[in-house]
Amino acid sequence: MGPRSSVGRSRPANPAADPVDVNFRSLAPALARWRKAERVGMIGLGVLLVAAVLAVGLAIHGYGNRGLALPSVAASAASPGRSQPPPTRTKGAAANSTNGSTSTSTSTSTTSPAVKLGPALSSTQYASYAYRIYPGTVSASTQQAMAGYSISTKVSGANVVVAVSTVGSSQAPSQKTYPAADKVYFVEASLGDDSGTTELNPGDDGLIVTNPQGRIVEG
Amino acid sequence: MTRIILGLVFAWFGYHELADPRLWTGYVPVVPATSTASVVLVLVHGAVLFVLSVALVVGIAPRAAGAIGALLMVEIVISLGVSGINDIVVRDVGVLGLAVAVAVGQSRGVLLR
Repeated sequence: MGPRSSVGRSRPANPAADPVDVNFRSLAPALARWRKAERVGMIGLGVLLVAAVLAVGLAIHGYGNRGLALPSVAASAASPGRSQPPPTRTKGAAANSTNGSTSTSTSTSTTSPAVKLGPALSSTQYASYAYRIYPGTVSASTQQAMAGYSISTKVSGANVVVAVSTVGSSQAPSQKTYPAADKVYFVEASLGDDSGTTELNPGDDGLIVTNPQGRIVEG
Repeated sequence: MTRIILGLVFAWFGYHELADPRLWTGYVPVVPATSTASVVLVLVHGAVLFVLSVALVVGIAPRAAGAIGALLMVEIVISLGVSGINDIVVRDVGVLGLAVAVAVGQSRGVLLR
């Protein structure tokens, strides 16, 4: 270090005795300037009021908007099962899981007349968010949508048993039974809430079952 | 530019929370996702975001709006972060930084008073 070096000159002789100097007096005028700059005039207030009214209107509309009343994944399979009457004919059984390919060999079946049918899935807001998990092969995009869940389907006679569990859950998978001719879809309204294998917002997930004609099986 | 981008982000989330609150109830901490209370909380959250977004985009008290937005983002980051740090939490930390930058920065561009 040369004779002209200033390094270390500003250090106090005893650093431990040097308190942190915070000038609170200078904060008050700074805060006052900040508040002054953030003054809202009548026009600004009016615009905010219009925005607030618009937000309330949207909220009222949103509160009443039950949409399809998307059945949650847990609720879809939490009960002992919406067992439907078995179809009239069966030819065989096969299993289909999220990790495997489908090899169904079941006969056609008809949904029981007692089952309440909703609108066609294709006509609902969830059509573009529905990922088919039965019948057929589970695609890569479906696997991605099902992050956080373990869902498998197994054809048993004339029915298909859908088993659902949450990844990491110690609880046994919940199961529901549907006619084998029905179609089972997983709905994920936003993939943005999936982080790896974790589902952060189960509120926009659901299972939808349709009859062979594509109408939603409710209940 | 910063406040307008932040305002557009808040506008997107605010609108969707208001239009279809039941898709967002899973994010509400503590309250059960299927309860009416969670829907109402999402609607309140969405309304606040919506008004903040207008304030930011139009330029009404943008730094105050940024400060309130930062508080909202802190709440979101904490509620998501308690279950672990993941890509979504880190992304929201970025939005939090944007809100803080608007709150403490100089207001430029067209402002409406």
